[in-house]
Amino acid sequence: MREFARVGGGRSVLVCVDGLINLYESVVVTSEAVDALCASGVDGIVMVASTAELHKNLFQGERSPALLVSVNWPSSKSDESVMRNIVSGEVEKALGLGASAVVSSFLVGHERDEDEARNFAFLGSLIDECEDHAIPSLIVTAPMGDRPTKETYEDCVGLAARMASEAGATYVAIPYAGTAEAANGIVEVTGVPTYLMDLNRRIAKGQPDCNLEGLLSAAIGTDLCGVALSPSRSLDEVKAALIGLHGGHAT
Amino acid sequence: MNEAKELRLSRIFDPGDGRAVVVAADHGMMLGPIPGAANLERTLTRALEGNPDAILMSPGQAERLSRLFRGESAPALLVRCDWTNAFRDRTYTLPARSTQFCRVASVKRAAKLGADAVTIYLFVGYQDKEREDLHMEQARGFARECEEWSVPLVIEPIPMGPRVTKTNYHELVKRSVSLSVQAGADALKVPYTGDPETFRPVIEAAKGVPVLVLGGSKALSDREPLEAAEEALGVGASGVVFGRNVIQSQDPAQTLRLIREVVHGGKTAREALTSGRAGPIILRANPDLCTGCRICLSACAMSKESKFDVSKARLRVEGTWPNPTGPVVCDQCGSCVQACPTGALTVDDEIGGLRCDMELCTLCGACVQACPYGLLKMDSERVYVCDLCSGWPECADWCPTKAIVIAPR
Repeated sequence: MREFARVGGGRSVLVCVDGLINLYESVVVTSEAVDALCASGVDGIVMVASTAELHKNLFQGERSPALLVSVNWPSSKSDESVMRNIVSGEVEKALGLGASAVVSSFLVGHERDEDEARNFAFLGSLIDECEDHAIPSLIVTAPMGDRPTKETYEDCVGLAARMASEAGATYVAIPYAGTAEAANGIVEVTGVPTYLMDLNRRIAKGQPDCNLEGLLSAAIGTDLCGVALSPSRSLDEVKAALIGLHGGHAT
Repeated sequence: MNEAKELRLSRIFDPGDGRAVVVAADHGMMLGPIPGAANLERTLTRALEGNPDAILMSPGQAERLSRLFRGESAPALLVRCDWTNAFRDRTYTLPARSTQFCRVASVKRAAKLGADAVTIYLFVGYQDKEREDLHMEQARGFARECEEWSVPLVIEPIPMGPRVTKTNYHELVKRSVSLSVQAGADALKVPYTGDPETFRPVIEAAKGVPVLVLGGSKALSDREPLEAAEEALGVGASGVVFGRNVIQSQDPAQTLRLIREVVHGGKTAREALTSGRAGPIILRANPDLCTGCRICLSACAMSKESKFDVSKARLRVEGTWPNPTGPVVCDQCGSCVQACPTGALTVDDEIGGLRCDMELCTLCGACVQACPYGLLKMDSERVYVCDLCSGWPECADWCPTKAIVIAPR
């Protein structure tokens, strides 16, 4: 498994081409795009197992990016044993692909509390399975829906991130909560290496724009261990992020 | 119970007296970074100086803070394997709309983390009977896993939901304890019903399974939860689980020392709170810590006059919220004693408080005139003086911010 997270104080840039972060963006991941991404020197790429299967040769070799396999939680009602079977199969698949971590999401702000409970139960099963197979987990956390307000958004980000870390996530990704100070505060209470996420604005309703410069400034000025970019970023933006983050300046 | 479970339980319950002091530090999983739990490592490092027998944590924290559980004198580890939103009331960011619960970790994972026991909830009082059955089923599932891994199961039965009323609360605690024993609990973590009479049947319902009584929500003073613990232990509880009263304490180690004196030392709450005091005492006020809540006035009036008539309080608070200028307390300066023409006013040598002998007092008012702080009061029947509550000043005891403290004279 390739190391993708902070080692010796360094930071990493991940690109998520799995639709996990930008749930509402229809980005077509072409082979050319993945090829170009790998060639860009990005530290890690998040993709679903089926996409990874198609591009597994790109993750071979010393200079290739780390592969992080994403597993989406089944939002439709499923009982515990079905959930555990899904999780078990997905984690084993990720291991078979040589993944460096398994990625999933945990959202707070569901209209129905039972959805939050099922999402958290899924997270628990996934982390159980990851621990069993000694593979790290990266949990993308975010507030969603109408319940989090502009005033409570930062608290909701903190709640989601903290819940994921309490459940046992190895890494957590959080959306930009407006300022570098807010991000730093959340990192502190989360207690695990934390990525800043390039979140779709339809989820982060009413929240500050995640322009690349803002994201990188926040990541550089805080204890964050990197950024997780959405697939809508251009290759030039990914390269700028790599130069910015590894060079220690915004862009 | 098998031997491995017994061995693990003996790391929690002191084999000498069969009792335990447990710190609950699993709030972050349910409520997010609440005060005291935001930087758990810092809080628990301080708490460990108070020598708790065990600490309850989430699986994630147990893994990250595993260093706290290493070594001969380290506490035992309890891992919370389930989650609920039931405690998110209206004051929280995302208040619960309906009570939910779920599994978060397997017993196998808890065992791999080195858990000496696994803790789960069992709620009784749901509107929907099916939910109660589902919760019971989950508890039984955990009990089976615990049996397989030889890890003791601590069930926390809590009356929760619309069917719970003040009237049926203690009955529901008793019923939920019975259900927990049926589900396979090896120990119980039970809320206090409020008095020994209603808690005794709860202990009986546990049928010999050790009962740890909960400290409850953050109390205004150390005294309240300590008295509850004393009462519960008196009717057969095997120890306490204190959460916010420890992790949100200004001095978690000192709070734990007091709890240990009650649980393991066999002291009453009063003895624990006054132990270590030798000789006369004095009250000291720290105006910077005063919030202007005036609980001290009510505590004083209630203690001395058995009513909330703050005009009879032996101290006052100047200024009002949000800009209080602080409490003014009697520092036994002796001006009133010197001014008393009949010798009615004296200072108690042992405690340091004032005494007024009404047989000698002529109600001349010289003492009231002499008090440099304007604290002494008098009516047509008597003089109201601060006697330091016979060595246990209520104002200091109830002050939530320690703006009034007891010091050696």
